[in-house]
Amino acid sequence: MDDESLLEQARHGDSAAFTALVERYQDELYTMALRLLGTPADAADVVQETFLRAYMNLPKLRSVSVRGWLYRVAVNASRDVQRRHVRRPADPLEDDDGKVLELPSQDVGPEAAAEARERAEAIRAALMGLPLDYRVAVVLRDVNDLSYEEIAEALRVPLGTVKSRLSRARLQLATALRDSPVLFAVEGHG
Amino acid sequence: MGARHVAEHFSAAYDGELSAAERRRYEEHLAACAECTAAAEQFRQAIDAVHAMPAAQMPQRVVLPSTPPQVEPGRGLGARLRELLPALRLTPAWGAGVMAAAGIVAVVLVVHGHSGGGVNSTASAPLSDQQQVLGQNAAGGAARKSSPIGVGTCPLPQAVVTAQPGAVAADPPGFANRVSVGDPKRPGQQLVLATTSGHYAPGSQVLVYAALTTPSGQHATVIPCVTLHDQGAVAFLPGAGTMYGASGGIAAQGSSADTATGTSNGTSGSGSGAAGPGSAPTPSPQASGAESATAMNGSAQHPPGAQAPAAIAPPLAAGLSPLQYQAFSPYTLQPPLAIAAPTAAAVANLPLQVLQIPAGITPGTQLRLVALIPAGFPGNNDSAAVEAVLTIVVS
Repeated sequence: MDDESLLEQARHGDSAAFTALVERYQDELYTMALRLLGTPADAADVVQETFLRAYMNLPKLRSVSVRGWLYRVAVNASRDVQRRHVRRPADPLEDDDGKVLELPSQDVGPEAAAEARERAEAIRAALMGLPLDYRVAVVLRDVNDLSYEEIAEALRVPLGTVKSRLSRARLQLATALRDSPVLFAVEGHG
Repeated sequence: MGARHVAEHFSAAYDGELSAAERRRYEEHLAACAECTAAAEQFRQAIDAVHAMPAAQMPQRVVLPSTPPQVEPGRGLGARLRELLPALRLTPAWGAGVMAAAGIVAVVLVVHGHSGGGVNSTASAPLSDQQQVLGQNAAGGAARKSSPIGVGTCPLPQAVVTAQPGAVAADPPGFANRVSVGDPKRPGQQLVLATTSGHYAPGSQVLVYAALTTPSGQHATVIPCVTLHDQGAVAFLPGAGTMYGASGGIAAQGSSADTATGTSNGTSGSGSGAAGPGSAPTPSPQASGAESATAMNGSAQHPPGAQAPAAIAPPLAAGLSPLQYQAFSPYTLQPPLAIAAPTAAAVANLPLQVLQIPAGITPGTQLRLVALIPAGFPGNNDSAAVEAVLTIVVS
């Protein structure tokens, strides 16, 4: 069933339909928030907050793109969390228990796993070094695969702004990763 | 593009977003420029690496209110409210005349809140354009012409719902930061005030569950006005000047010092203890007035530039009847930092409200959520006022 049908049912009081929307989007929103904020607890908070806001705003969610709306709320919730952390920058090494850096597979050897972890940490650090607006653009495009148009809708900015932010963000990211030898092990698929 | 390097086109080229002409010039440049070719390759590797990061899974369940969203097709909230009005007594934000015309029991207390830097009313919350605010819709034209729901207006209480027994959940799941207050003069009634967390960021929104629940067989559930206050600023002062609840925790209002203050039932639920220090449900004997209480906590709890709120008396000029005024005469109301507004979900049987933490609040500040049911509500002039206080921490 498509998003809009589920939304319509949820708006008529069908909580199962809303739950279906939660299950459909919670992981991708969590992944987005995790890449934006860097810590699982913050990311989970963002997802919780996003769906709570969605639930409470159901009456107003008429004729909207559910996905775009959820992304917009999740980005805004992430901004709130980021603001909260301005005085207390997260130390990636301090609370890193391995959950932050998901391993692509459990059946790779320890060496490959260590390399994957090192690579993920390098990318994480590079992302966290970007200004938030840039980070949002890169994450929505390159982590969540949103189109330029979807990003523009989610952020409520013009298409040209999306393109220029994304371009600058990616250049800055590439520069930050230039000296990471781990990247050369990556098989490109783009 | 000539001799200019083409790094600014890497992104569009990566996404295949260059026009045919742009792409031709881009590739011509790369063919002639080893520097750009190497940079483009490095760019591609970096962005590929971001793409290659694995997706993550939400590690915990999303908690939602247990009551399904009550939304009917094709009808605005206003229409639904008009239909519900016989059962749902709503106080307009302003104008006793409107209330009198509607035969509504509740009275309105007009508070002139301070509006210093960084203090936002609920109505200016980021989501407010997506949220229905009961008071605005119910109040009709009179309310719309005046200031919106938020700092400055606090209907007391928000609503009296003649509900079916058990229609309002006394113990909503997901609201772990919870306090429940009873009063000997209100047998069987519990004032429940709860939030989903004890910690909130400046500027963030707090989802508040607040209801005076009654046992089965009784006919009314009262949804109180919920206000947000500085930790030290007391919300309500009995006329004698004794102060309650300055240290947070629970305070319930009695009419005199030797009257049971309604704290005997104490807290219930596991979350209230985590709300922060100072949750002892005791009056604060050392404090003798609102101003000293505010001073105790210092200016750090106010947004920069904001004035410490001063206690003001209930306005006689607000058009209250003598009986209505009497209901409030023991109290002095502190201007709150914010006032919760009911969400659309509150229309039916889920007493959810939303308020916004002012953006300028310093992290680490403790704030108090206060829910108050005045004496005589609902429908019994002998019943005591009851107040629930919940501490939240700005982080």
